[in-house]
Amino acid sequence: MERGTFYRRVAYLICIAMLLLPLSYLAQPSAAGKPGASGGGGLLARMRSDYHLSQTNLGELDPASETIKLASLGMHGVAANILWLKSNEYKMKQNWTALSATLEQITKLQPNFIAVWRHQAWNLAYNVSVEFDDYRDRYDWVKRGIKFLRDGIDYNLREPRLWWDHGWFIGYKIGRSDEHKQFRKLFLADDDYHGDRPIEERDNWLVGRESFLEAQRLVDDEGVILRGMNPVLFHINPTMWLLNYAAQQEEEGQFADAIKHWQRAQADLLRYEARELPGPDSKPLRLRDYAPVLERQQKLLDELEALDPGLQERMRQEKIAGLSADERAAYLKPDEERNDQEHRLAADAAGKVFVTHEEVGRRIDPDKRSASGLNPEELATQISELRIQASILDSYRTQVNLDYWLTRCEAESDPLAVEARKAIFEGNEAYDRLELALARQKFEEGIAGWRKVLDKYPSTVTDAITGSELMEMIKRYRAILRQDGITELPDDFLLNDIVAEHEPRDPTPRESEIPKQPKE
Amino acid sequence: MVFEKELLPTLNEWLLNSGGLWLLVVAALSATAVVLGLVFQLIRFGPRAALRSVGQVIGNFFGDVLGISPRRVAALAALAVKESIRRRVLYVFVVFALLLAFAGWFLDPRSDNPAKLYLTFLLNAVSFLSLVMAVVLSATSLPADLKNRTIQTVVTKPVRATEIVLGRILGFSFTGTLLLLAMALPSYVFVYRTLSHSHAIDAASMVEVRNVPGALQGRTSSVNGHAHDFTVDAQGLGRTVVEQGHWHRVSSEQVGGQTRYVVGPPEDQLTAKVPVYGQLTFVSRDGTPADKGINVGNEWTYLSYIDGATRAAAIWTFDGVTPDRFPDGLPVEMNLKVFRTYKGDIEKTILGSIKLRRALPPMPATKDETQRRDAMIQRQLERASQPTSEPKNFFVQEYKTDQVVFPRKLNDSSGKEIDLFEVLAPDGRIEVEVQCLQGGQYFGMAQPDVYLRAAYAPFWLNYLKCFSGVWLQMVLVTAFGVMFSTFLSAPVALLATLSVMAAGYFNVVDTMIEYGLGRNLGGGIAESAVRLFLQSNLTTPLESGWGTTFVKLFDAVTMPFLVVVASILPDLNQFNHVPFVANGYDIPNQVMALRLLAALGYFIPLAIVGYLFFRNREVAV
Repeated sequence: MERGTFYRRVAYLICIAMLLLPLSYLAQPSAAGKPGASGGGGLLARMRSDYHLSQTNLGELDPASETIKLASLGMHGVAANILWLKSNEYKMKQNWTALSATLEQITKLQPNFIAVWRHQAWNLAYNVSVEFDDYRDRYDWVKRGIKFLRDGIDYNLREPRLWWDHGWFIGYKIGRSDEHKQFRKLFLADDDYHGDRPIEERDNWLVGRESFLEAQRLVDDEGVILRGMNPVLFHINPTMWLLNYAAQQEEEGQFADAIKHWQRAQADLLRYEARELPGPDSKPLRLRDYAPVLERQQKLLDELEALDPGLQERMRQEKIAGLSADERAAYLKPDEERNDQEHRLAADAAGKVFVTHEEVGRRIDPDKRSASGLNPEELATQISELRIQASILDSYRTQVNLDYWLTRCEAESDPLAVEARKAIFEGNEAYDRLELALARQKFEEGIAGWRKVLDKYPSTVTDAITGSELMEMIKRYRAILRQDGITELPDDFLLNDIVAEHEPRDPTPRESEIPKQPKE
Repeated sequence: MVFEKELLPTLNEWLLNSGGLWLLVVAALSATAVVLGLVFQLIRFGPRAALRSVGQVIGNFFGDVLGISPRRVAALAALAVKESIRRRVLYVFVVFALLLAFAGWFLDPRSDNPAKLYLTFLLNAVSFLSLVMAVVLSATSLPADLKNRTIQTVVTKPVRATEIVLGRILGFSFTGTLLLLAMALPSYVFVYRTLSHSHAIDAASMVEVRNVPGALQGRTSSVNGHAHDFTVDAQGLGRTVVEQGHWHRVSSEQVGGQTRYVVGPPEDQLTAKVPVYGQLTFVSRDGTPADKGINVGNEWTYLSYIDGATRAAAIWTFDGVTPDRFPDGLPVEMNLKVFRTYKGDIEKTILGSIKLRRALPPMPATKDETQRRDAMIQRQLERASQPTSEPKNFFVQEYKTDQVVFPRKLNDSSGKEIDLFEVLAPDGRIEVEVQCLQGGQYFGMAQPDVYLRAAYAPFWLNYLKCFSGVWLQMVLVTAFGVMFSTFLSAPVALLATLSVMAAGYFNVVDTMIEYGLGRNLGGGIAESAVRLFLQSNLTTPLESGWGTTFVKLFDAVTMPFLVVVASILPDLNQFNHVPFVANGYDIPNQVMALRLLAALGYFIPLAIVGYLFFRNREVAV
């Protein structure tokens, strides 16, 4: 009996000792940092370093954060929850000092919880800042939000979303708020924030762009996976900020380097167009391939057509002939004469009579070869693939309004556009000083200048951004005309096309439009 | 500063209401105890023995109370002090030292009001530490003595049970007092030193002020995340604007033929303003009187808003406005909020106006709502004929205190010079009316947001007063601990005292009462438990049936008990005066007096209950 117990104990001891071996293999701490060692350590340590999971890989190691985590005895999740509730209460009760202190504590407890950083930085910069009446206080809170993100970045160096937010806040919140004039001035003069950064590099769009570029570098060079963000939009941002910078410089009357800024933005835009972006099926694609893809698609379509001219149309006619009598009748009827029932039938029929390229390819003699040496079926498949590719590229390009920005860069780097903008800027200044005669003269110079620009780059006429900018000026010009006794824009007004395109539709008809009742 | 509960009652009011209630509760409790005792003895030994034994207990009690010898209590207290030192209570001080050493890690000196942040943190830390110490010391000492039988060495001496209980409470409180004092000084020095700073001025970067000959303006260097704009006059003297709740004096000196500007220490950072608060009423936009202003859509209904460029106004009525209290005129301080319905001129703040008016006699109290409304409307009409000062306009600075000083000699609304006290406050009562002057914009306020600054009290005194609040908390918790330890074993007494402390400290009392009165969604204890188990939403009614009936019945019986317990528990937060100190307001002496009385109200019954339990333990007889 006694002996049995003894053996059992020895067996346990041996088991424990044996289990220690795999444990040591798995969990031996990393030797990195010790002299003469090169990383290594147990399996877990190596995996941690491979997947960038150890604290030192994530970002700064903060003694305060580690202490507070230790002091909460593993309950830091619970503590963070309680603090989160408290922070909501402080926000409700407008106790801002306590709110920012509480946020600090939450992030010390869970410094690698990215959503906290993002959510609360937004809270500070957007929701808390507007609670203050003085724009300088508001700026201060926007800056706190930015600093909060910056702290988050220090803890999470490999997190592109934080860098991206950082760039967004600096660019958009400072540059596009109602207070952007004041904010931009404060930002420019903010030695606390900029330190030694020379004044010409302090523009918020340029500073914000640096963060975007860092986010981009992490994704491009360090292989960090971009989560929860659309890569098409993610990668255009550094360029967008350059475009905004160029536009804002002109808005603020800085015309000296205007052409240079637009050219720089254009070059950046072209680089973006040439960048590899992940497609929907993760196959990389480049936005600049859009025109060549369309071209090649057309070429292959022509080749397919050349193999058996008119085949597609003939097949369609066959399908129409195969429809039921009702369907055919509805399908062939002109749209405006169809009733509800016929609309439905026609829509069904349209689907049925559609002839795909594959169907055409299958019908043609498989031994035939096109000009580029492809058989009909290969040809048809390639055309379909190209069609899909083109539509993806087109949607990507539309998402970032690429064609507009390319045209705009070209138009804005034209000295004509700069002259026109300068005239309008001076007109606005004169208008604000109530020198209306000068303002009218300057506006008219500007209008003439813009006419030339619009004629040279006709696609800008329909663009909403240019449209709203010009309409703003036209509104002021009209006000001056009214002062001079002219109530309507002249019929030969140079920007009538812009007015027609962009003037908001007034729901109440003008007096001249109300039909006169015949007199009794 | 935010007072979410009603501003303080006067001492008399309090004595009448709370004091009376206290007497009632104590009397009821004593009567219950006597009756229960009688009933038990009656069942066990019959009527005569019951009467005799209860009479004996009462007789003993008075004998023990009247026979208390201060000398013996002091000796026992000294013993308790020795014991606490032996039990390494000084470790608390080590924890405190650690806290001070590393506080800098967790506190951001760039916060918008570092003084508030530091004071809040430190004072709360001190109060928490001292409470934990009080709990551990008081709840474990007696049971340990009983267990080791060391108590025998005391009870065999000619001491009374009252003296043992009192001696413990006083002794542990004394240790706590010493510790608190020892923590008060270092934390004061810590706050003072971390907050004191100065800025440098680069004389070359200063520019002239337009239209003021000789005056210069500029911006100081940035320290602790803030810099001040400042102006100096032709003599080189001036001051900075307020940032992070303080400002600095600026002076100049000549060094080697060059002017050098020197920034003084922070001013108004650690202050204790003595405010005189008034009663607030409103006038709505159409000129009718109202109890509240408009809510601009905040979830928090503490602030009321008045709309600009209408007849809407906020009117505070102040008492005790006399020339000897305000010899230099009437300094009115305002912490108003602004709500804009449109941005307007972003660079300008919103314009308001303030005027003084002779106050109407106090409104007679009436319970009838219609009568009260009529009286209010009548008063609003009478207001128009009261003498009024010329309005002063001001731009509201949110989150900074706006100051308007009305001199003794000022113009009335017709431009005639009058004496403030003789004409506007002949009986020491005066009205202050605030209006917003810009249409579509609103001012927000609560009762304590406009006050008369009577004086500045010394900050260190205010700091001490705050510590005395902590001290009262500590004494109370000690009394609870000793009381529990007279009849519970050490761990249970510890738990009970901790619960009392937690309930009071984390403001659970109010919540418990809310629950008990069934004001919250989801029902009482049993119903919440069922809902938790069923994962049912708070608002869906439970399926009717005998189960639900039982659960509801159970709650109906138990919840009143919860209300009683919660009502008896002390609200330790009441003794927390940290917000006063942190926001730079003097703790009114009246508050101190009320808190002292409240503490006594607990202390006496606790000591008696402790005595009764201890007296009835085998060992003490």
